[in-house]
This record gives sequence, structure tokens and C-alpha cells, in this order.
Amino acid sequence: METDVLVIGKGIAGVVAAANLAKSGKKVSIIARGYGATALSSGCLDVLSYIPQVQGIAQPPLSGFKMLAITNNNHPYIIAGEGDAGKAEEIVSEAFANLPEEIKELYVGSLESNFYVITGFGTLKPTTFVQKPLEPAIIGDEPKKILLTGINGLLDFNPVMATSVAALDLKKRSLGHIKVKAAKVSVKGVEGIPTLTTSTIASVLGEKEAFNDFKSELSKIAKSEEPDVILLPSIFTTPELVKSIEELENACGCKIGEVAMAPPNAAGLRIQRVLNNICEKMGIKTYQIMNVTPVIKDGRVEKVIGEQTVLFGKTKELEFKADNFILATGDFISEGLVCEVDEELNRTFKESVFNLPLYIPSEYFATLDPFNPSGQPFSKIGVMVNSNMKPVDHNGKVVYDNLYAAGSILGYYDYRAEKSGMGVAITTAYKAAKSILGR
Amino acid sequence: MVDLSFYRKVQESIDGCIKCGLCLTICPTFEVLKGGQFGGPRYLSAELQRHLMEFGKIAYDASYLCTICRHCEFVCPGNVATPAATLFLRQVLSELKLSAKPASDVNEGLKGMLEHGNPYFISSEMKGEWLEEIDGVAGGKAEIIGWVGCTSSIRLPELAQAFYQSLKKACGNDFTVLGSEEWCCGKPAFLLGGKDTAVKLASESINRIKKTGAKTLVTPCPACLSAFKYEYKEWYGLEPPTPKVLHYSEFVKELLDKGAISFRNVAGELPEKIIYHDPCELGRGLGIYDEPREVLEAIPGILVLEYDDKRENSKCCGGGGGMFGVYSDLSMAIAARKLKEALKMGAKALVSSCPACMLNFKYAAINYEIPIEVLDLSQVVEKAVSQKS
Repeated sequence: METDVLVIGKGIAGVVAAANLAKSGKKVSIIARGYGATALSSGCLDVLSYIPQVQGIAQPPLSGFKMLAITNNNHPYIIAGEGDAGKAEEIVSEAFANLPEEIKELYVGSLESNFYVITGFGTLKPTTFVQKPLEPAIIGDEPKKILLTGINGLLDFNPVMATSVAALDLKKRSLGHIKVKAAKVSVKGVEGIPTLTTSTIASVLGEKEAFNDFKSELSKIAKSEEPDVILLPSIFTTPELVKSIEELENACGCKIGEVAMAPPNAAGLRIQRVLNNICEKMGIKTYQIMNVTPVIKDGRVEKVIGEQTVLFGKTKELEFKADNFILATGDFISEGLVCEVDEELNRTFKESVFNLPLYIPSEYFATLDPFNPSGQPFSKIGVMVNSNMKPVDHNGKVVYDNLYAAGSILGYYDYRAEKSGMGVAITTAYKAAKSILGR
Repeated sequence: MVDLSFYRKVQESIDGCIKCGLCLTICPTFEVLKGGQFGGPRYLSAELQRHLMEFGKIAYDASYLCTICRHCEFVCPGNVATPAATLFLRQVLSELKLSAKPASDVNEGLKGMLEHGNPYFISSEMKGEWLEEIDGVAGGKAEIIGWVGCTSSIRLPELAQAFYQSLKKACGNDFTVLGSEEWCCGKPAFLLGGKDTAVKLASESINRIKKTGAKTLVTPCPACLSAFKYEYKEWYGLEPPTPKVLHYSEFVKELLDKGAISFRNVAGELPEKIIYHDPCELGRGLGIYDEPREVLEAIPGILVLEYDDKRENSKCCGGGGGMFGVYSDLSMAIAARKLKEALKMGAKALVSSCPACMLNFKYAAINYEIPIEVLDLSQVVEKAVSQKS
């Protein structure tokens, strides 16, 4: 197969880069191995909320860049801005303005402000854009009474626990005008299932009868509790169910929304579905590939050889030739980065396709507090790039002239601690595409 | 014998499971059974395989609840090969020759396949009836052999006849079929865990195909195609029966590109709005997504609709992986969901390019009284094709 640009990875970074290139007339293909962290994510577009070692929330998100340029000038945002906070702000704004329409349609929010949303654990998560079904979960200035409503039998969302966590978190952040209360509702046809998941509930609610029953149960609760907002677990997995939210709102006389939950989370699946549709619509060919081996010639990536599983572990090889390559394979979750441990428990970190040089912080591997506000050292492991998003070695020398990297494969930042995952992915993908287009 | 290197590969892949549950959101069996008796792909691969002994009976019930549609493999962030794990489980169960259901049914089935040369246990004469009905001719030497497949020959004569007539029109005497002499390719036995049975069936099929001296084999059945193309070599150590093996859609697309055939307007003769269903084995299995679409779109007078979940993300019809033979009610329940969705989108007919899908959809439409026509690509092509003079 021959193409202008080959993107490796089909998460948000891969597809945003591919879409920007395809829009400018480049022939683009994507090879990917299953879904990655985008499909497993909260689906929120975090830009920047926390800066490690700095108190408080960046408000608006881009206002944090000046501090970032001082504390961590290797941060992908700052690198994309050629070392300058102001230029970094510009490139982020440009990247978001150039997002494919299908993604924009899915979200509410703007780069002008960060806000909190309530998650399925009751914590308050700062973010910049949320998908429309999560809009009611946004904590605004208006006083609100929120009913966190679980579904009987669904263990993944415990409204009582979430409510007590939310009450504490709201108090801690002086957001006393928001009241939370727990409730539970039944869905007909899922009683007694020991392994009940949100996707099973979604598939049952796809049937008219079960949906109408659920609607009337929910409206009874709404009548007795009179909340401003009812938040449900993430059950709106299909476009049709998302449309039905309005019907539920009319029956209940209040806003209905969902909370971001641990995977599999509806919002993560919705954005992945949109990404798939974008590829389809823009004629970006995608291939399911299990293992990739690059072929290097004269300091350039000549082609990659992809191993495709035919069936039952048997493989065939496909060859992909391209002028330029974008690496967007993600970090440890999607195995863009891997950690090998030998018998003496020594860890070796590797970039799994090109074996690129990695930035590895000289600190210890991880801290005992999983939610350490300074982040986790292992999270910062990743590929080093120059301002064109070309991977470089420890001396700053470009590794392969036609290779670019974008998304969470990049090093020097901790998207979990900063709440910057999607923002960095979108920005670096846009920058990589821009570099290839020579703009 | 169970292949130990295969076992190691399966074990390695299972360690990639991060318990994210993405597979549960797309598994067709899990969707219909609501997760009750069936814990979904991650249970079938990661949990069950690690504790095979403790699970006992549950293991073989669950292992035949998989349609091997490979959708889970395609969304898995951890690269877990659940279908391979399922096949491994089936191979072990087949070796054990268990007496309880469904393993006993499976073992009986494997014996029957070997004896009759088809998975429906029907005599050779009956297998050739579809051809007699249209006064077709079987055998002889030809460049191109049409491999109809057991399901089409026996259960779907309309498909077999459309396949034959459309290619006869296009290729004339260069084209032949085996009719009643056609044997089972071995795939159903392989899917049910009976590799040894599969090898015997495959060798016999090769002998029979070789007699025609054909250079190209064309089949409407993706299961037969993947057997000829990959499994013969990779699993059985046999060479493909002909140098070139193609799916019907690929072959028709070739004819179209060469200008050997053209399509006439079929408005009024076929339902105006049709929806295309990607068969798992053709799409995810063989990567053939474009050819059937390109063929359909080249036919004037019909409008091709698309499911929201298509191509790599296409939902399984429920008839694959031998499940239609073991749990046919479940297969049809899965198919009915997809048919209802097609109806909602305004389609008057569903077109597939796999006999197993068509059979399952057809029965589901009857059982669930869903007013939609179920067609194979070959039936649509046969209506429209005319030879270029």
C-alpha cells in the first residue's frame, strides 16, 4: 500500500492528525491495533487544569502556560509553541478551531474557561469541554439540587458513596450552593444479573417497553425529590439513546445527564465512534494491524510492515509505504510504550514501534499515593520531540527525518495529574500535520 | 492433537487483558444474553482459561456461545485474541471427547461431516439438486471453478443458482462447478475444534478441485475462502487448491473493471432501498469491505444504505463460529436485532455476501416475523448483470 502519510494509532491524536492532513488533500491511511485510551477515557477534552507543584486550577486553561514554560519548558504544549508560552496558546487555539466538525458537535465548552463536572465516584473533575450528555453534570454558579441516581443491580456506580464523596468535595471547594442527594431506579429486565454492566442496561433500554417503564420510574422519583438535575450512570451508549435524553427530561421536568465513569464509559465510546466515522467520511483507510516493524533506509522511514492476524493467531504481512509517518500509539495503556521487567526486577522502558530514545525521569518509578498531585514519574516517560513534532535523541538530533509523534506517546508531562490528555493530543497532532504540510 | 505452540501464543495474548470491559460493549452474545450465563469475551479468554479446571462444565457451555466474529479482538486495547482462546478451548474439549451436551453434539457432528462431506448430513445427490433444477452442467475442465459451498448448495439453492447463472453469463465455458461432487472445505469442523476431521475433509476437497484443472477459484462463502486462502497452509500444511482464490465480490469487481460485464437498471425488480451487512469473516477476517459495496453501487436502480456500525465495527449476525448449529435460537435472536435496526432505517432488503449470514437472517426474519427481504450479493448481481457484447 502506498500513501502520502501513514498514521500509526486511531485514538484522538491519530485521527485529528489524519483529518487535518486529509482536509488539505493528502492521502492518509491509519493502521491501529484495537481501541486505545481514547475509548477508555472520560471523553472530556481536558486542556490544562493543574500544574504540578502549583496550587489551584489554571483558569482559563491557557493562562497556565506562562507558569508551565517556567516549571517545565519541555512540556509538549511549550515545545509545540517553540518554547514560547504565547505561541503555545496560539497553536492550541488554532488546533481546537481546526477540529473536525463532528467532534465539535459532540461537545460543549470553550477554551475561555475550565469548570468542574461530577464524576461517577462523586469527585469533582476540572475540565474544559464535556460531551452534551454530561452538560447537566457541570457545576456552575447557579444553585442546583443534583440527584445522583444509580440503577438497581449496577455495581459500577454507587450513588450513596458518590453522594458522600461529592458532598465533601463540594464543601472543600466552597461550592455550597450545589446540593447532592442519592437515589436509585430500577430497569425492567435486568433484575438479578450478577455481572450487570452499563452496556447491558443500554441494550435493554433500546427496547421501547423497557424504556417507557424506565421513564415512568424516573419521573416518579423526579416528582417526589424535585431535583434540578438527575445524573445517571453512563448508559447512553448509542446515538439513539442520546436522542432519548430529551424525552426523559420532558417526563421528569428537570435536566437529565450522565456522569463520567470508569471504563467502559459511554462518553469514551461515543468519541471513538465519532473518530471512526470521521475516517470513513474523509476516505481515510484504516487497517487493523497487530505488530509493526519499520524499515529504515538512509535515515528515513521507508515503510512499515504490519502483521495482520488472519485468524487464530496466524498472520499475514502488509506493507505500507509513505512519504511521512506519524506515531500516535499512546502510552502504556495501549502499549505504545512498554515496560519490561527482568528477574532482578530491573525495568526497561521501550517505545514499541521504532524503539525511539525515551525521556525517563531520573526519579523513582512511582509514588505510593496513586493520586499524588505532583504526578507519577512513570507518566512522564515518553518520546522527546522538537517543535515540528519530530522525535529527537538525547542530544536534540532528529531521529528520522520523515517521522512525527503526537499524543500521549510524548514525554515530559503527566496528563493524569495535569488533566491535559486530550488537549495535548489534539494540539500535538495538529502541529505534526501542520509540519508535514510545511506551514 | 492440540497444538502447544498455539496454546503458548494464546496464553501470552491473554496476559494483555486489562479488564477494561470494552469487549462487553460490542459482544453480540453478551448483548442478547445480557451477561447472565455468559460473562462475555473477557471471561471466555482471560478468566476461563486461567482457571480451566475450576470452571468445569461452565467452560464448554461458554466456549460454544462465541460466534468468533472477532469484534472483541478488534476493539481490545490489550491485543487479547479471544477467538483464538475460544478455538483453543474447543480443541481441548474435542480431544476430551466429553459425553455431556453440547460437546457430545459437537463430536457427533464431526463424525457426520466426515461421512457425508457436508455439515448438514445430506447425500451427494441432494447436494447437487440446485444445479439440476436449472439444468446446469457440473464437472469438466475449465479455467475458473465456482465453489458454491455446503450452506448455499443445500440450504440456499436460490443463492447457489444466482451465483452459477451470473458467472455463467459472464464467463461462459471458462466456468464450471462441481455440483453434487463438491465436498466440505473443512472449515465447520475446524471451527468446532475438530482439526483432524478438517484436514481429512480438506485433502478430499483439493483432489476434487484439481480434477477440473482450474487456475482460479471463486466462492460466495467467506468461510470457505479463508479456509482455502489461509487455513490450508497455516494449519493443515496443505497447498491452496488453485493458484488464485477469490471471493465472489472480488471476482465480479474484477470483471466490472475489465469491462467484461455491465449492469442494467433494476428499478422495480429489486427493493429500492437495500442495506449492506458486512459479514464478519469477509470483513474483519479477510479485510474485504470495499468490493461488495463497489459492486452494489455500480448497479443502477437501487439505493445502498449503511448501518451506523459498519466495516470493522459491523455487528455480527450471530450465525458464525458454529453457533447456528449449537444454539440456533440464540443465533436468530442476535440476527433479529440487526434486522429490526435495518427496518428502522427504512431498508426493504438486507444484502449480505456470506451464506451463513443469509441463512441466519432468513430464518430470523421468518421466526420473528420481520417484514424484510434477505438477499445475497449474488442474487442482486444476477438480476442486473448483462454480458458486454
